[in-house]
Amino acid sequence: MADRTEPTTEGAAPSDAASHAGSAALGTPADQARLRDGVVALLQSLLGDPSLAQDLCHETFRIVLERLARRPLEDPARLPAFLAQTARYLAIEHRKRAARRRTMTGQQDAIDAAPDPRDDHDLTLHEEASVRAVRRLLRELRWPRDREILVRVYLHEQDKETVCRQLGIDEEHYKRVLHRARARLAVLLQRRYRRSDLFCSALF
Amino acid sequence: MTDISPEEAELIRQYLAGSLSEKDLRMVETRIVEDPEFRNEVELTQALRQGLRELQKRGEIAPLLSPRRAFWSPPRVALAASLATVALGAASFLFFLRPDPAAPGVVTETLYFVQTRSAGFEPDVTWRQPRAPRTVELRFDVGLEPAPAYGVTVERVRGQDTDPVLSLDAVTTDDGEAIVALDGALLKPGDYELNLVPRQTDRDLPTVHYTLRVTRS
Repeated sequence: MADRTEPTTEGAAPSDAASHAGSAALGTPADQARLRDGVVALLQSLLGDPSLAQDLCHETFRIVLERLARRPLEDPARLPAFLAQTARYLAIEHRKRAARRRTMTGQQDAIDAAPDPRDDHDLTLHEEASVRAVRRLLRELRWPRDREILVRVYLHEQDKETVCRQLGIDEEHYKRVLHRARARLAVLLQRRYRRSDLFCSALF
Repeated sequence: MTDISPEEAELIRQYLAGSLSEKDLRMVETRIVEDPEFRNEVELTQALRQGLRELQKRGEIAPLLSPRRAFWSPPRVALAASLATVALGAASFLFFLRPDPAAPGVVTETLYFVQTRSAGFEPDVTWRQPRAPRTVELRFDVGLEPAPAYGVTVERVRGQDTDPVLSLDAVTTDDGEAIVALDGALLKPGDYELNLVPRQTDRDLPTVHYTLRVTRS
């Protein structure tokens, strides 16, 4: 019979004491909330779907808690890296499963044509708010070069050499000019919007 | 777009463009999880990219960008004004040789002043004066919110004191930089202090200071 006090198999449920130890390893409730925000943000950047990011964040923490209950990290400072790695793994797995489903059903076009209208509405509102905010901020930027360098770098993804050549900037000053443009945009952002604004929710 | 370094901003740009090495990718993802300020920057940059893409789809980007004028064109008026002021202001101090950028053999050289100096001992810019005639274009990065124009005083440092040398006007260009041009021959070898006093503004903007060292070729 297996020794229940020392679970060694990957899927085994940890004891209450071990579970508590795992939870403690995640730090205070405030630490955990901060880490959760970080994992959600990472998953959202990987998957582009806020509600899916929330779901996979729960799964990430479940897996990490179970792992910590069985065997604490040798270096607790590596916890964020461990969470990030687990979240990335889950995101990749999710993508693979989604791809398999597309292959198996053969009805993906019909499924895509009938999305949940609530999700679509929320996403559209979010996107539209983001577009309005970016449009307004760009218009309000006082220096034309700021607008231009932001568009070249973040929309057209031009390399440094091209941007410098087109804008007549020395490569030595490229980082500074770009940094100034971003900083001016940030100043406008802070002046024009509050975090609570729906209008700007996509930008925060 | 918070207070992060240009290097971090570049890292984020590459992350969102999907062009990071595996090692840097891990590092960025870990920072997203553990560092709220860095994460905020990633989210803002992502929103900016998405917003720009959508504006591009709607054909709204091109109207936001004004066509750039050729080199020398934006500051032409500023240059003319500056040179005229140099002629008036410096006449009592120095022999003034009016620079003409179009004249054969006259080369324009740009000295770039960045507002990053603290109480350092090194000058912001060191310029080795060549033997051949030069029109020196001084470009000043005067901060996030430049005034429309500046009064520029150039003072030569002599021990603990300074002697006024030049008084000029600089106009802020479309690029958000204050710019002025003068004949390089006016800058004799030595150390200088340059003070930019904001003009044509009702905002309470500070005077900006720079230092310049001119050496012989």
